[in-house]
Parts: sequence; structure tokens; C-alpha cells
Amino acid sequence: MKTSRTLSRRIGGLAAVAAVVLPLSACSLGEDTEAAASDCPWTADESVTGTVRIGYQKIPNGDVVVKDQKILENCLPKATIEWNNFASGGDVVQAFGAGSIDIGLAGSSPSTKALSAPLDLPVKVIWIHDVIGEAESLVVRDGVATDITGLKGKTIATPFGSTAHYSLLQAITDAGEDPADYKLINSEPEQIAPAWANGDIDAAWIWDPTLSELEKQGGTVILSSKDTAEAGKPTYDLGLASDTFIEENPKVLEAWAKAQDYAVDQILGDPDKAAESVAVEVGVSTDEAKAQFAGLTYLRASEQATDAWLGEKLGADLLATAQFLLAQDGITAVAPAATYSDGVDADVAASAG
Amino acid sequence: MSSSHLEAVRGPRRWLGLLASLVVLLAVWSVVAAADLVEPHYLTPSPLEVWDAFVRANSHHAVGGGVDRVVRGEENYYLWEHLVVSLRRIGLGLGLGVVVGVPLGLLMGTVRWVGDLAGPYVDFLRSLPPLAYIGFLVAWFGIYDASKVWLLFLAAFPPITLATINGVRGVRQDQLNAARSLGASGLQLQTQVIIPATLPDILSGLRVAVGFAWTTVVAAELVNGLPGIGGLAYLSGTQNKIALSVACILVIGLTAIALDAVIRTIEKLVVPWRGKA
Amino acid sequence: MSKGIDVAGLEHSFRARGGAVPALDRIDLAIEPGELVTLAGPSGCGKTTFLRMIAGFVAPSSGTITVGGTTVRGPGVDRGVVFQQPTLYPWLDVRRNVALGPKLRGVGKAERRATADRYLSLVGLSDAADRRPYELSGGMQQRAQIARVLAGDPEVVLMDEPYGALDALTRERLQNELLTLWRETGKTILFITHSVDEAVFLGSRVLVMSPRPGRIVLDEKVPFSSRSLAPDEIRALPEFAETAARVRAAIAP
Repeated sequence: MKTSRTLSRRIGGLAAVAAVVLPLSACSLGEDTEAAASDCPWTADESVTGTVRIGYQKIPNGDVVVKDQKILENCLPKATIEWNNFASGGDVVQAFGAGSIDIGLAGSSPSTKALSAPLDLPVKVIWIHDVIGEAESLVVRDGVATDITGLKGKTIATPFGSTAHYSLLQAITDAGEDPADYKLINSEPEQIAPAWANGDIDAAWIWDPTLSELEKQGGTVILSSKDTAEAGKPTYDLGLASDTFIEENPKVLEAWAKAQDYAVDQILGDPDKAAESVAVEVGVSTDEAKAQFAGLTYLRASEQATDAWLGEKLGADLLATAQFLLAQDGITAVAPAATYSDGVDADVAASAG
Repeated sequence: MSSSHLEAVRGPRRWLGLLASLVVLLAVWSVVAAADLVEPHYLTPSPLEVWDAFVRANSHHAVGGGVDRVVRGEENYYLWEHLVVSLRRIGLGLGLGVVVGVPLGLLMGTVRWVGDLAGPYVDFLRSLPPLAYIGFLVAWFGIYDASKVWLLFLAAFPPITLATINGVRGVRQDQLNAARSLGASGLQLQTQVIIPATLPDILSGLRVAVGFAWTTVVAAELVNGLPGIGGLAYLSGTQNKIALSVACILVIGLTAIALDAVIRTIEKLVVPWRGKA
Repeated sequence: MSKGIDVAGLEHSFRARGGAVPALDRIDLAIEPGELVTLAGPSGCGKTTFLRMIAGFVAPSSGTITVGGTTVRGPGVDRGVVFQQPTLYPWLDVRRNVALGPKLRGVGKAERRATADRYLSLVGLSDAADRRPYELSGGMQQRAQIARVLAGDPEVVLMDEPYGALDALTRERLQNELLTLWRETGKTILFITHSVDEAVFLGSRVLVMSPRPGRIVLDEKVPFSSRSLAPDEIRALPEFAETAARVRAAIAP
């Protein structure tokens, strides 16, 4: 019986190693900084327990400031805050679809998709993280063109389905041109710089860090999302929350909105401090972070709760986005206007205002 | 006798050769990186930059870029912690792959109609690229570990099952007859002959599965993959931190080789008769 | 205890493209308990098929086989089989290979180990008990296989050209050992071979099977295996050469 015993002992040994390694990796990794209620900028709410699952992106706005400064953790000390990183708004919407997150950040294009067929997700827009301005711009290789009409027949790269894609198509249409006359290429942001260096593309509507990189390589910005916004087709980074979560957790959302408002206040009033958090979270220098602040517009809670934004206008902007996405095969049907106006909930922002 | 003597001589020589080729590789890499064949520069990090990224990722380090803050590794986890989390996912996926794949393979190998029925599906599953169906898995199993482990399981179990079937069908008829003549029941035939005879093939299947799992782990960690070495490799790519990306890829490659060596050692211990009988 | 084998009206044909190919044709045969029957014949004549039917691995197209009065319906512990290619299990050492029969029957660890050691010493393999089969020579593997079959304590031992792949010297040594084992255990043995010398030397009775369809064409009691003469002396006997000549003539008329 010698061999079988040594064999089973060997297998047992492997199992023992696995038993030691697996739980260790399961729970004890990473640094666990204790939340401190005393660090909450207002009175912490200790009545909230349970888990809040947040999907965030590495975008220079209040969301990463809230995360880095642990404002939610400090203000909801009894709750577990779970931050999940996503590479795109599409991924965030997918996570909502899977029921895996409660609150998430997505651009206005993916948010509109979430509200429209075929997804028809039970989510609402509860916050405007930022209005996109020069942060997303059309960079053109030097000498190729000076305006959008001059780019006809040229190759333009942008991540399809993104707010940049929307702005690009909007700009082409506003110029009275047909997008079919342009060679539009779907590309992930990180692949645009190599494609540019290779000479594969003539222009790109993109954001940082790729935007700065292309400018460094001799690109010129000829249009930005600020221009399309001024032409009446703004794009946003929006905060979404699932319907059930909104119903069942008004206290969490109030604290969440207060935290976001606090972060916006800091970006506007103490950009050095906010830039540090952005630098840590997004992986840029503080100077770059401050430069990126200029490309986005941040709104305080009291401001965005009004009819000029969440109260009324955003619903109309989402409807316009939906009509546009339908024409571009981004969605299968535009929902009735009420779906988009009802898909925006200004109460959360109002509660923090 | 003479072969072991030969190996004793060849061993150090082989290592020297490997070391020399590594030095040459690093030199060529440095030259290519310095030449900036591919623009922009950050796309071709030098070995030193990759090493720096590796060290940063495994230590508390200053954020830099005008921030005094010191942060822990990358995304608050050391690189080795990212690796351990991925290894755990791979371990779970492979474990499930073995738990499901081996009995399925035994069944498909022993009962012909089950094999004929299920075979095409297992083959089909094996030929699917994981990226193609990670979206479904996320929709069904959420963005957390369940969908990742599912993906790794789906990548791992077909090669294990197919190898097991192969093993069962390769058992010599007379080895079964001999046991029957010694009074083996159907169950005893399975446990005393078929399973041990199939063990070498199961372990080969496991080796293939481990390889598949490694190639799948980046896809598995595309969505909410942090911590996780595949997720970190992807995220650092999107942030243009190519040096860190390369460091992750190197760590993945070296770990995969080490894991393969571990399985080969287990093979030597558990199935010493492989290739001899 | 050993039992006899009765074969009545045995016929067998293989299904092949273009119809059934007859393999065995009306075999009637009675093997007495304790006989060492050798069955010689050209390759492909169906003698291995015949043995596998007695072992219960193959069902005949028609006819019956009974061992000790019980009809054969499948493999059973009353019939041990020694295969031409040793079927020892490489994942077990030699001792545990030999102890497998008792283990499958649920015999306790100490007892089956003792049984294994007894049969290993009977075939002269005590020193190799802890080795793996693939570490043994071909002759030692066959000895171990015989020990494993004997440890299963069958009534009948079926041997399918067990020494066919061995060199001449080893072969002769194992032939002598088999005779000793046969005398000591008194088992009924059916031994298949394509060697005339082996058939005549070992058998207490020699059968010859004709090529397809296989049929018993010679059935003769042979005296040599029961004589206490040295092997060389047996082979030197004039009767040995005469019997061998008759057998050879029956194989290739």
C-alpha cells in the first residue's frame, strides 16, 4: 500500500497548500484603511448599514475625489462601500444590466443606450458629474485640414458608442456634411496614439491622455465638445443609479450626493487639493489634472437640480441623443420623450443642495 | 548511467546558454527601445523602465507628478497581490474544470453514446475565443468573481475532458479483461484500472488547461478585473503605462512557465510510469 | 480444486464486410480437471479467439462452454488468464499487482499481502516485490503475471502464448517453472502456443487447430510433462521427436 499512501499524501499536501493560499488571497490582500466618522465634512450617518456597489471610471471629476478622500466611507461609517473600476461607460451599463452595481458613472451616450431599447434598463440619471467641454476634442494632423469639411474622405478614429463619437457625428452633421463621406474608425483610446504615429489615421476625436499625446506629436485641435455643446448638442458624464436602489436607499443617495457636491466644491474652490486626488486615482500629474479640470464643466448640486439641467433640459438632451443614436444604429428604437424625462431624477441632487 | 553523466555536464551548460540568450535579448530590447522605432516613445519602454514599473508596483512609492502622497503598489495592491488574486481565480476555474471535466471525460469515454452526443459540444466550446462570450457571462453571473471563474472554467474543462476521453479510449482492452478475470466489478474497473490508467492523460490535459487559463485570464479581467494581474495589464495599457503593462505580461509569462514546471514535477511524482509502460 | 472445461458445438464467425467470416467450426472438447492441455496451430487459426471465449471475453455465435459444470457467460474468477503481452498495472508495484485479485474480492490488507508474497516466492520474484512492472525484464513480467493469476486462485488457468515474445533461454526456464507450478498446484491449464516444441514438451495432452475455420484436427495424450526427466533428456527422447513430427504434420498437412 506504500505507493497509494504516498500518492494520497502528496495530493493531500497539494490540497493543504491550496487551503492556505486561497483564503489568504481571498480576503487579506490590499490595504484596509479604517473609515473615520470624524473625517466626514458634515455629520456622519451611522444608521446606514449594508453594501453600496459603485462603478467608477478614471475620469478627472468629483467621483474620483470622493473615492480617494474616502468621503463616502467616512460619512457612512457603518456601510461597506465597494468601488469597481470600469474602462468604459459601456462596461458600466453592462454591469447595471447584470445587476452587479447600484451606482455608476457613464457618458451621456451609453446612458441613453441604457434607457432605450433593447436594453431598457431600470436606471435613472441622478447626477451630472461634468459637462464635457474641451476635454474631448478633434485633433487633426498638421496640414491635413483646418475644419471638419476639409476632413472629408480622411480617416478619423474615435471609440464608437462614446460621447466623443456622438460629438464627432454631431459636428459633421452640423457642418451640413454626411458622415458616410468620412472614413470613421472604431478604436480604443490607447490604440489611437500608435495608429497616429504609424500614419494610419488623419484625425481623432478623443480625450486625455491620448488627446495631449497627439498634440505633442504635432496635432492641432480644430473642434471640441464645447463647440458641439454650444451648438445645442451637449455631452455629459452622468451618475446613474438603479431604480430599486433609489427607492430603498434615500439616505445613502443623500450622503452620496453631498459627497459629490463637496468634491465639486473642492474642484472649483481648492483645485490643488482636488488635483492631488485626481493625480492619485487617474495616474496623471497634478498639473495635468488641473489642466484637465479646464476641459470639463462642474455643477454644484443646487445648480444642477434646476430646470436648466437635471430638472428639465437633460431629459431633452437624452432624447436628442437617442434620436441621433437611432440614426447611427446605436439603439433599436427611440423611447417616448417621457422615458427620457422620467429617466432623470433631480431629487437626489436637490436633497444635497 | 552515461546519460545521467551527460546530463550533469549538460545541466550547467544549458543554464549558461539560457543566461547568455537572456543577456542578448535584453541588449537587443534596450537598443530597440532606445531607437524609438515605434512612436510615441512610451510604447517601447526599455528593460530598465519595465524594471522600475515592476519595483514601483511591488512597493509603497510616491505618486510623483507633483503629489507628495505615497501609495501602495498599483491600485492599492502590490503586483504580487494582483498575481495571487488571478492565481486564485485560475485555481478555482481549473479546480472546477477538473471536478467537472474528469468525470465527464470518464463518462464520455466509457459510454460511447454519451461521448458521441456530447463530443461535438465540448469541441465547439474549446474552439470559442473567450472574448467572444465574456459579455454573456457578465450578464448572467455579474461583474464579480463568478463570471471570471466561469470563463476560466469554460476555458479549462474542454481540454481536460478531451484528454480524459483520449485516455479512457487508450486503455488496453486486455488490461480491462485481466481485471475482469480477477473479479473486478464495473465500479472497481473504473477506480482500479480506468482512472489510474487515464491519469497521465488527465495530467496532460491539465497542463493544456493551465495554458488556456493563462491566455484567458486577461479577457476574464477586462471588466472589473482589479485586483488581478490581467486586469492591471489591461488598465495600465488604457492609461498608456506600457512599462507597467509589459511588467505584468512578463510576470504572467514567468508564472505560467513556473506553474507548468510544477505540474511536470507532479507528473513525475504521480505517474512515474509515463512513457515507460 | 480444479475443474474441467466442456465445449460443445462451438461455432463462431466474425462479421465483416461482405458477410460473416467463419472463424471456429464445430468444436467439441472435454478437458479433464488437472490436465495441462496445449493447443498449437498456425497464427490466425482462431486459437486465441477460442481461449477468449472460454475466458468469457467473447461470446460464441453458437454452442456452449461450461467450466466445472457452470456455463460461461462472461469473465469470472474461476478462470485466470495469462496474456501474451503482460497486463501488469504500472501504477502498482509488483506485490500489489499480484495482490489485486484478493483485493478485488475484499480480502484484508495483511492477508492479501501474505498471499502475494507467497506466490511471488513461488515464481522466484520475492526480490522484485517492491519494484514497478516496467522495471522488470520481459520474463520477470510474465512470472509476475502468472503469480497474479495464481493469487486469484482460479480453477482453470488460460495461457495465451505467454512465452511467445521471450528469448529462447528465458522461455525454456519459464517452461520448466510452469511444469513445477502445475505439479504443485494441480490446476487445469489450457496453454496456447505456436511452437510445436513447446506444445509437446509442456502438454499432458496436445491439441492442434487447423487454419480458418478453426477445427481440432489432432488430440493426443502426451507423456513427457509428467516424467521426472531433465528437459534436455526429454527433448532427446526419440518419442519426443516422433510426437513433434505428428503435431507438425497436423499443423501443416
